[in-house]
Amino acid sequence: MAGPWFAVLRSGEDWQTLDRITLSNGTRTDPAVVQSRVWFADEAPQELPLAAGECVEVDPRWFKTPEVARRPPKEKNTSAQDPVGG
Amino acid sequence: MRRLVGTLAVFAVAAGLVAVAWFRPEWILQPVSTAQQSPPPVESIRPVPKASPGPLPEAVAALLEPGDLIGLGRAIAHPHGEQVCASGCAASRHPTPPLSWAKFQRLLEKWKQEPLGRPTPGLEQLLFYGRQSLVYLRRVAPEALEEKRRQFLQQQLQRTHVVVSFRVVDRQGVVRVYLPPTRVPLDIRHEYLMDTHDLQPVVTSGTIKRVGLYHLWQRI
Repeated sequence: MAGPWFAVLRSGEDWQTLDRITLSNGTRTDPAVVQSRVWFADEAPQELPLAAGECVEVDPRWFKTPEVARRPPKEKNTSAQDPVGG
Repeated sequence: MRRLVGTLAVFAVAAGLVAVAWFRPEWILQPVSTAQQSPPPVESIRPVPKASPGPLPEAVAALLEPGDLIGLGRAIAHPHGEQVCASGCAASRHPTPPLSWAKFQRLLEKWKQEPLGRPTPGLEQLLFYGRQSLVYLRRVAPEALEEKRRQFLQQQLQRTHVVVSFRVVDRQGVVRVYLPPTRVPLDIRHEYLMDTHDLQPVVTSGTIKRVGLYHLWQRI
């Protein structure tokens, strides 16, 4: 796990993805998303909670790297005289 | 003679210890319980909440509910900052600054010029100060604020608790870490006991603050 995560959430909104992380239990490593929901107490639904281990529908966008986070590919530096690249 | 008495006394004490060890070994040796061989149950590894921190402004403290500074269920109150939180949380890494009467009056005048029931800057600043604004609102003279406006603000400021839920979902859609919807007070840092699946135990902590008519700021 990682963090801390800071977020502004609207009360009652659906799950918001805060981050993409990598989970490892020592034998298996999986990409995962950290999600949160929040309600004002007087607006909270009386729904049955999930349980750890249950499956939920995955939105492929959760695991897609945001465009802004992508770095442009580095140009290969072939100059022997200037290894730092200027 | 004195040496003989001393030697006899040492022998007597030694003989007593041997006798106790022989007939009552449990008095000397701690029995190894099965609990020490197996992992402790979840209940016993819960973090111990710290003692109630220093004095709070009486009026603000009176707005706290029983359990707000202790925590209930899966959420354990654990304020541990150095700054005093004027919003009733005693100590927090994200304290709400103190609200003066003068500033409250300025914000109230600002809000009185804004449309009622909308997320306007004046209203949202009053809501940010939460319990402090509520204490001051009770001191506002009846003729100084329209009744409809007063009721609206009071109703909003009385929303001092939220329900929060977290989860970590892997690419296969399996919920690997989960906090079921859990009720916590605003502004007070809590530690959360999370359920895990196929993963080592996870404890998280965080604070939730109100930053608008509809919005909440969260730190996990």
